[in-house]
Amino acid sequence: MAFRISLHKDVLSGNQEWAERNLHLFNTNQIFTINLMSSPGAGKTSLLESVIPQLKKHARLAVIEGDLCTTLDAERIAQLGVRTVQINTQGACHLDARMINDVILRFPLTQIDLLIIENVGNLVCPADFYLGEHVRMTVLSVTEGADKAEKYPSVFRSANAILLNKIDLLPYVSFDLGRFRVVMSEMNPSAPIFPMSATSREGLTPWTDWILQTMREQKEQSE
Amino acid sequence: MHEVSLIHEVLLIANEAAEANCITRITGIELMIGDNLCVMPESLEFAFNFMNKGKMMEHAKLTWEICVGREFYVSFIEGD
Repeated sequence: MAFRISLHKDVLSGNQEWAERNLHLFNTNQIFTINLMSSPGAGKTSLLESVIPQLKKHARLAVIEGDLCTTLDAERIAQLGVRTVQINTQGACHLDARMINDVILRFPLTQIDLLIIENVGNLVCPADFYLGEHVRMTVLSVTEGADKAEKYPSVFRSANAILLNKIDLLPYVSFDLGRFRVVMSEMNPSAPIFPMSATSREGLTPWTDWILQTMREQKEQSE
Repeated sequence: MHEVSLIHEVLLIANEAAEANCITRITGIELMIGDNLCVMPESLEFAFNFMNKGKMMEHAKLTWEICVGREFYVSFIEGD
């Protein structure tokens, strides 16, 4: 005779447990961790290349790069003198907490203040896999269109900051900045929007100031 | 989302619960799926129907309820 076992068991609990282990490691070692997400080609790596020289003056940096294949992005970041590890997911379209845990001990944790995880380029899946980060940032480039937040809400709704990249191209594309701001004010009113360009370097300073300020606040809270 | 990897987790959960309760044949698994997740129940069912082969849930029926939000859990299993 069949009987029923009630469970109420979270299917994603495995990832959550690994993420909490990561968070514990980060907090124990006073490492402020950022999860950087976007679609492929929005400019995550270029933005990191643009701001790392400034960030390095104020914090000891480390970067984890996530891609299906190649070490191209890690090579770009390593050239800036930053400790970098590349994760190749070999088909997985997002990083998960277990992947981060597998590589994190390659870094000298007591010698890092700021860890930036550049996630796999994907506007869907990364949003559902918490890595143990303190802050999430989502990059949207103006060439992608102002409707992407409505079409891919999770990654925009869960972000602590929105980086609007390639604004030097605004005169040449039909990106409705006003509409985007209205949509984001309803979807995620607490996330600041930072318009910027990795190429022309406009708008980078407010973003780096925000990172450093948020990092200081996180460290004060954990003391 | 990743229905194959999600079903892999569901099978692990169901297996563990069955072993803990001396169930040798699982006849039913019910999921609760939040409507704000990018999860397709029909794709879950498709993945389930090929990943359960040769396992104790091979003849189980996968059912689900949809709820508001982002929860995703195994509500219960049934078996004997």
